[in-house]
Amino acid sequence: MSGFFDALDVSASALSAERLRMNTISSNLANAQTTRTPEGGPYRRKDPIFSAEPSRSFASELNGQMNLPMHKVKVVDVVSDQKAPRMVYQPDHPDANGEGYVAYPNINTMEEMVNLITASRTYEANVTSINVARGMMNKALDIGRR
Amino acid sequence: MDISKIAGIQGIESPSLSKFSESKGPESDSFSSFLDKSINDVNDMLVDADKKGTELAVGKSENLHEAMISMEKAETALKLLVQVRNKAMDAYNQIIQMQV
Repeated sequence: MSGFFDALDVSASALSAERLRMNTISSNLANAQTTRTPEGGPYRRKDPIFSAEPSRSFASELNGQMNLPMHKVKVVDVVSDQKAPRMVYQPDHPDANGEGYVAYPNINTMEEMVNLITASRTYEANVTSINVARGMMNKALDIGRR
Repeated sequence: MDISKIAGIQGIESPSLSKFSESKGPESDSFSSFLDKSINDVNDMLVDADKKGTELAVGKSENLHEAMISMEKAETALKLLVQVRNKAMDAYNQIIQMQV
């Protein structure tokens, strides 16, 4: 049996996931010009990978309801973009190679901004779904109120 | 506390009614023990919400939305408990005002 609180839990997982997406985008934007990383070479664009996880609570396990229709979203991995770095001719730069080219991260600021708006709107949508679920619960509690 | 436990309220009336006819029955089925358990459940949720709020305030946790959702859950559970209490009091008043 799916309860009202399950909707809240599913939306909460989405909020966590979108927050992580927002954090990776911030990191991508902040490091758009970064030429040094601990791994060596320029910064590589990060992208979170989401996966749908069946929303399992202890109670649903106990009731033997393994395949509920709800799925939480879970960040399974954050992958680095393997696109070739952007080569800029800057012979004076300390990180320039033998031919005078500096490897900059291949980050498109416009693309990151669009992703940022997507993350923000998805977050809003999930907050709305939480508020609607709460509204439904409150309406249910109004039954029989005099 | 799971919202599905509202369903348990219906199950409460029949044991307490049958208790009247038998004049004995398992104490665990009584309405008061159900109420007691519900109050404890709601209290647990309130404590949990309080803990998450404190952790957020002192900087131990950064889970803003989870704290908010815990508080929402606790608030809803408390509202449900108050409604159950109101219904019980209504029923009590109806009985007490009965002409004998």
